[in-house]
Amino acid sequence: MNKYRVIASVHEGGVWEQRFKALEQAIKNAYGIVDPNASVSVVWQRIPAGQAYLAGEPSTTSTVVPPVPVDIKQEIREQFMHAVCQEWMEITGCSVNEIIVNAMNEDMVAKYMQISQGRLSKSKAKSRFALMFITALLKKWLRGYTSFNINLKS
Amino acid sequence: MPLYTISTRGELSAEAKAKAAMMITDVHCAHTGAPRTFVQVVFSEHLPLQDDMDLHVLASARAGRTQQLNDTIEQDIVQGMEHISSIPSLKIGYELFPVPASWVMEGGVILPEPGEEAEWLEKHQHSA
Repeated sequence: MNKYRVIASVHEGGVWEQRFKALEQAIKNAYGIVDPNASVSVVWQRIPAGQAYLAGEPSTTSTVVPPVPVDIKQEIREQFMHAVCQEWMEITGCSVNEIIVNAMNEDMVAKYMQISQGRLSKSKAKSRFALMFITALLKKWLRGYTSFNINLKS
Repeated sequence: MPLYTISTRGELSAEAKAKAAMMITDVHCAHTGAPRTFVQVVFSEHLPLQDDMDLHVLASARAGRTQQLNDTIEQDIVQGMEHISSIPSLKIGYELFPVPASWVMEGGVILPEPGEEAEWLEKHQHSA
């Protein structure tokens, strides 16, 4: 069974919070298109108000990054992105311009994460990540979903 | 796409964030001809950045542009961030992460390759 961790960047307090179960299920169902044996988990990256912009203006657009196998055909990738996009709009009621899907090859997602972590001081990041991990576990226990804030306050 | 993630050790003011988002959108579109509706800017604050950095820009953008064009965009964005944040350019890190356009769906359609925006916009006016 192949494991995929989907990152969904969403706005704090947005509709997703009431519909996360349906959204997670919809993403898992869509994975049937790319890999019927997929084991899928969704991590919600919460963006506080005033920290996201589109076209230079404040934005509430959500971005979903579902990793896909490296040997996937473009036709299948597009079907998959369409499925995620459609389900997201139906469940949240957002417009087509408020959802971005970036189905990156899984090796590229790993590379992106590597670059993203490379900007941080390893020694200082350790304690912050530990705190983030504990907070994420608490949230999972209290609310049922795994999430973290885009800010890393100590 | 592009998605510019601006990471800071501390916080930028709301005004600085708004100015930075506008500046990055202006620079990106002026150099690439991409529609403004493609440009996303997100701020991530209180990050324990490496010691030699107070601000970091991670640019996840469509692959296929020349090195010269990418360098020009980087230079202008770093200069703009220096001006807006008062953080010296030497303390600003910048990294480009190119992503194939065909891997991204915005406005319900696959993004065009760099340089094919005009034709794409004509076909998909709703997302412009």
